Amino acid sequence: MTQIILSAFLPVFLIIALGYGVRALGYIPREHWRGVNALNHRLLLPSFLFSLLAQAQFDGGQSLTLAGVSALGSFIMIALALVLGRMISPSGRITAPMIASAVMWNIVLSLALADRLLGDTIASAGAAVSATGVIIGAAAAVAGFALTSGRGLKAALAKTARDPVVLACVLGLLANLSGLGRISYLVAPIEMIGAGSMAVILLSMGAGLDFKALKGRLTVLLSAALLRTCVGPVVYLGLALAFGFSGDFAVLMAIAGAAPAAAFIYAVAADFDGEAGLTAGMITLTVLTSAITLPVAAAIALSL
Amino acid sequence: MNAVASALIPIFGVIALGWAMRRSGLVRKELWLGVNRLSYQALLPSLLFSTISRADYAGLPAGSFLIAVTLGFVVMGALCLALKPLPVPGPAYTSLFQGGVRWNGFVLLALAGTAFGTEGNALAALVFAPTVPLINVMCVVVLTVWGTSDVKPDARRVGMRIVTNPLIIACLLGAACNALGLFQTGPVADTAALAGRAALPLILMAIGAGLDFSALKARPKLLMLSVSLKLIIAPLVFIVLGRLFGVEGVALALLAAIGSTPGAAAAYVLAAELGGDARLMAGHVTATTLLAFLAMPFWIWTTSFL
Repeated sequence: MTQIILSAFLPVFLIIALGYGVRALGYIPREHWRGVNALNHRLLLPSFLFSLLAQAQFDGGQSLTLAGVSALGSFIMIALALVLGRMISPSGRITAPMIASAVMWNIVLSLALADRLLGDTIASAGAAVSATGVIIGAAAAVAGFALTSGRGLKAALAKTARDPVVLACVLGLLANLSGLGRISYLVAPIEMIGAGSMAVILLSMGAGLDFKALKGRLTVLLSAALLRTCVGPVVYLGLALAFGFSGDFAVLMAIAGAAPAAAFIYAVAADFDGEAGLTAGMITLTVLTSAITLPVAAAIALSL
Repeated sequence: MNAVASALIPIFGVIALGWAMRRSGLVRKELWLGVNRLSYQALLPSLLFSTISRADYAGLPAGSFLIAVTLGFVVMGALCLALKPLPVPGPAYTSLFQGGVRWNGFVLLALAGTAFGTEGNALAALVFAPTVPLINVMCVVVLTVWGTSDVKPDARRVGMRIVTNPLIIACLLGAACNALGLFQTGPVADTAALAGRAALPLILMAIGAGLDFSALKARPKLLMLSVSLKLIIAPLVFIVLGRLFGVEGVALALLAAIGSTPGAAAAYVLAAELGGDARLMAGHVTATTLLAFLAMPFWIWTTSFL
């Protein structure tokens, strides 16, 4: 089993390391990644999610239950982050990145790992889990930063409604339900972009790692990493088992739970003048800790 | 609808999306520099390495195909040189020359996998190793003689640029690993394949982002000539050479595709750097990118009768 997990996970983490390497060595300097990141957030990730959702074959009750379990997991993570954030600091500016990193996991990484480990038959289940996670996670992350920056709920709602990733999820679901997602010439270019986006997103994830952001505030950073990558898999896998899911579905949920925080929460933090440095540190540390917790969580779920 | 046209629709769809992203300001012009750099320096080399190292060349006419391709570019260079007596300024002539010989290999790579299967993919990836240095040397020499830049290229620098070109290195490493049976499976092969998958969508979008419709007005007669060279004369040259060297089937269709690919954006960069007519070059790349959507399926279709 160790061999299977290693061969599935190693290339994904090697791509992340490659992204960090080419940026750190100056081969592709930091300023050039701005364009790649903009493309990621505005086109690649939305295309990936749109084509995944538009072409997913949702099988009624089971997909709905999976989406519900994913939503429940998100709400539990929000509650835990709120409690933990308040215990560490009374400042909302600390709680906001705690919530964002706890609830918004890296969808692309988790789906890449699930695909490599379980094959493409898990794609539709992955779509159900991810769409719910993205919509609740993005809304919670934006609301947290907006409220603590004093811009209020209206700004948060406007930002969430305009977010390309959230829009892609909603449009992908609509395309699926209306049947438009199965018109191949309509979705082929988006599918082509989506299929290639995984590596770019992983590379820029590596390029975005900021080890300087790990200096200081160790309690907050460690708490966020612990919550995201150690408590997360317990919550998601526990919920999956409680709702009668096993096998590949349980592994999928364990991977979603143990995945690192999504890189785009850094942009949200910066947009709302939140604690961007702290958020970068949380993303970096969760990537590092997830390199250990992800294979462990997957192995446990596989052995159940 | 045939396989080539079906494969071209998403390719040009992605190019159109890249143009729309830049035009709408969602990804501004200056931000594409990073996308281009990532594609050329990391993703495309990964794709070429991954394809060449694991391809099965047994039974493929790789030798005669590569000779025909290389000679095709030499013949196009000679044809373009024969046009020098035309009464056009030096910089404009260099752009005419680049327009005739430079090709967009990435459109071919995107097409090959879908329309020509694993055989086409394996042959298409090979083309880069001999042609990248050949075309670069030809273009730099022509720009040095007839361009207007005060900055004259240093031969050593040009040589180093070719030797350290990531695409050439990837092709050679891929061929070496293929011959030695190295990295056929395992983490290195999987990582290269995963990274390589992102190359074509990204570079196709960057092609779209670089399209400049206002440049179509620059020197319309010369533009028409350079476009005709690229999309009418070049495919004919490649097909005829292919037949002369006994190339047929998928390999011949690939030769037709190579001849009729659009112009490469690298031509614009070199023209701006070495005193060519960059605006004419931008117009050429834009016009050939649009017209290749018709030219490529047409020329590939003609090979089915040979």
